[in-house]
Amino acid sequence: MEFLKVKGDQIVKQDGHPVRLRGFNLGGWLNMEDFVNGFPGAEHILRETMARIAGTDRARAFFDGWLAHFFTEADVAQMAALGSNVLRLPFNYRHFEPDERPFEYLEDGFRRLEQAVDWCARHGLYVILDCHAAQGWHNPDWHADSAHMQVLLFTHRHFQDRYVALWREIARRFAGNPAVAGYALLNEPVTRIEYERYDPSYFDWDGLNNVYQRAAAAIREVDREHILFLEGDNFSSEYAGLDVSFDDNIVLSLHNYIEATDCDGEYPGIVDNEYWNKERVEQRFHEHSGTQFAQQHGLPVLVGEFGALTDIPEAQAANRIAAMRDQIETYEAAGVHWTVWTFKDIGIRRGVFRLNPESEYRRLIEPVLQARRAFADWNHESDTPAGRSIVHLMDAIDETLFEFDLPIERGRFKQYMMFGHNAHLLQVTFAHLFRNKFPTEIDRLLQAFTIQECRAYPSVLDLLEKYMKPTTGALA
Amino acid sequence: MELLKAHNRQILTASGTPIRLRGYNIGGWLNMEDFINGFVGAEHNLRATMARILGKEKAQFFFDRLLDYFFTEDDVKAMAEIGCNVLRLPFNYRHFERDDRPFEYIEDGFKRLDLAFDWCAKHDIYIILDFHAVQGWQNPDWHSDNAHVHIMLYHHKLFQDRFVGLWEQMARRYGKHPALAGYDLMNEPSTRVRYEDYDSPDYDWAALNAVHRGVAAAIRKIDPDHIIFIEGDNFSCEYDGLDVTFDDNLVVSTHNYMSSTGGGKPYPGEIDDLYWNRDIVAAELGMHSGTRLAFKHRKPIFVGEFGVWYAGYPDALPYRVAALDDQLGVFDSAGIHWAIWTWKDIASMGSFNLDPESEYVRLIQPIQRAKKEAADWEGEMPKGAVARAMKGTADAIDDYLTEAGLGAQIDRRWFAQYTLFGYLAQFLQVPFASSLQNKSETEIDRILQAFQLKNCVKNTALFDTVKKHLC
Repeated sequence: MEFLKVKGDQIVKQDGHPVRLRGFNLGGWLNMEDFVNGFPGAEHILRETMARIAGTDRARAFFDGWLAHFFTEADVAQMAALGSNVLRLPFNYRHFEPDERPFEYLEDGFRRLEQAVDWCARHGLYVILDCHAAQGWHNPDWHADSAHMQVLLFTHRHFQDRYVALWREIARRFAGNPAVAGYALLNEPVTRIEYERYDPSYFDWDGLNNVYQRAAAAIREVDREHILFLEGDNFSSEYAGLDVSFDDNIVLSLHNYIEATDCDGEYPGIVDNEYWNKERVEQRFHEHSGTQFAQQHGLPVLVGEFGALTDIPEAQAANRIAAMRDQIETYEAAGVHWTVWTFKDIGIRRGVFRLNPESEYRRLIEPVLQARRAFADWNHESDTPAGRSIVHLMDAIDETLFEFDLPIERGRFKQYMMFGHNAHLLQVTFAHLFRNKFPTEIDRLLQAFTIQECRAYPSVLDLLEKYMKPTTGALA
Repeated sequence: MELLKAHNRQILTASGTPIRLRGYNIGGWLNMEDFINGFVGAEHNLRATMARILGKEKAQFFFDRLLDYFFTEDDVKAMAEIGCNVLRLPFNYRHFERDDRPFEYIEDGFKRLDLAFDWCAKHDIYIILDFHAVQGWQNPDWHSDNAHVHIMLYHHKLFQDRFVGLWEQMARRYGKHPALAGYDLMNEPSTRVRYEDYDSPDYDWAALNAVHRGVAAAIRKIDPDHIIFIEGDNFSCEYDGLDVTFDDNLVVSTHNYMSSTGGGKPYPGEIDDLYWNRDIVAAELGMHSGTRLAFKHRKPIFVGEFGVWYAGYPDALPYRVAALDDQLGVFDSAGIHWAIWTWKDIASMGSFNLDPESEYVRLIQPIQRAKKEAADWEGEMPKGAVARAMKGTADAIDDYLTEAGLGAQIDRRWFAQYTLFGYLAQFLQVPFASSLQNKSETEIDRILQAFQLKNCVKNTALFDTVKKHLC
């Protein structure tokens, strides 16, 4: 494979030929997520809960089995067969460095990562290494492995030191490896969380820019070649104060989740009280703070995350997939790079490949998934007594505090309660499911995650294949 | 003042005479607390919220004046006058070290502490330095300045290193000071947060002992002489696995809050299904896990915290004070050292309270009312619509879990603290800060003078009971 670099607003090979990167994210492997992997809560709390309730041997069998089966060379072969040429690979620092022994690195984690890059190289895929869960948490969400919505990275020098040192270590190991496209320094950074009304004027740009510059400087000590992918504040939605002047090999990365791929309604048609069609999809992309910022600075754009909710009734899913098609066509027309979220999941949200719903593993965890839907799914209204009770609670709070004319931020409150508390309560019941199983049995159950056992969503597969497959054009 | 040493079950002066340490905690000064200082939530979050809403300078002005007025030589003098010979001094690391500049120390914080040492030396009061809010949080509660009930200290080496680093600073700066009694390594450690059973006895003794031993070894390299005070797990309630053998000059510190000293029930009388009288008070102390450990290892006992919670029950104060009188009497018979919680606060536990007519108390009235109605996570749940809704949520989740046979239950105490403190109290910091938004620095200065001892109101019944056991 040929080394990639940024030239103007394009990504080019060594000979100057432009390349268009199209591919998948691999959520749920080196950064396990609640709805990707089907457990409730945050990965690091699950590791403690499993060890405490099921014992350390079973916990190890569980997490090792998971890593072994969730992603293999067969997955890469499948991605390559669909025509993709890039894999965005999210990772959680905990797979590489323990909190108890900072700056000491875990060879198991690096062995897996190096193997993944080798597989990708063999099948012609570039890899973007994406720091999805940084030391001290860089955003308040589950996907940063943050259990209680804390964000400490930007204010804690020590977490920054560890974060920067891990990037240097990664760059040291992958310097000179052409199969690595580059380093996505932080996924969806957020410099503040809001307890009250969201205030778009309050971002800590100095905090974010400082962290980026320190990481970039450390990487450049050992690796002058690989691309840096940068994302903006507020979950990659705000870019106005972002500094991109410190390196000349930068791709701007943005995320483009939209109502038309995520909410109910006909498409084209009324979705979430708004008329959505291709024009609106295009408009949303072109008006994105990241798109405009990239244009002003003449940088290439990677739409690092987007995707359609597909684990919904089929007729609805067709609408969501149609909106996703229009997104991809928009990206193609704009000449930007894209990676869809996500390759594989448990089958409750947006995985292109999903666990077989009849698999033993899926059936085993079904009661926990149902309980999650009943009172621990912070993204949805749950029409159950427990789910409705949270709405009553929010109403009661607003009513009691009405004199302050400052309603609580309901999205955050729901997340705080339903993820922070309820989902972690459910981890206890999740761990109980494995308490009496032999380690070998646990490993067998987790084979449900192998690509051979998973099911694809055919119309999504067709859509992706159509746009990923190399054509005869210059951008092949 | 003579150097103090733990010897067998006593604390001795350098000349070998036994001394009994008795006095106050100064909660709310170098570790600000929600119910003591009258804001809501955690201090570090309040500082961020205030800076955002008032601007950095005015916010800094507010906190500086609060520190200036909350504790002065007048306070020390008043303690000395009634016979106190010790002050337990809780501190939050954030007054001495910043998260964005670890291992660099803040001279402003040490200047204040220097003053406290000089005042105490002048009035013959020993100081126990009490590390109350540790880097990375040693427990999930508000008093460790923990906003989101998340404990990181025991797993994070770098937080432990900073914890050790600050103790080394303290030992270097105060290790030769005549007023120093010793180092209370960590207030109310708690190694475990649980989602299903808050009171489960599953403690991480290896982690707690390792942190204690590490910090004690670092202190001993600098200061071989002063006493190490050590507390047990689960907020200083559990001592079974606690290592107290690594140092000879060590005092076991316990906390001794009891049902008889809080709330509105008559005393002597039935509280929480038990008839409380002096015998039960004595048994609570005698059977305390920390007492038993100290006895086994022949170590002195310092009850570093106990006290009366009278907020919300003004008529029951005579009962609470009677229970306190019995408790102090039991301490007297057992020769126990003690420091009562706390010297001064808005209106809950202090021997001195802010004047209810003061401008500050009137200013925070709406916030205090909102806290009481919506966000009071301690002991007394809020009584109104929020409480009913909370109960409704917990019931509905428990019903679901029971019906589905999932074998878990909500721990309601944890659930309340998580929601009401972790979210709602931090939320209420916004109107707290807004209420100061239009005040000038002169006005803020005047408002905060309410914290000066001369402007406070003495809780006579409580104060006189403490005084009685100091003579």
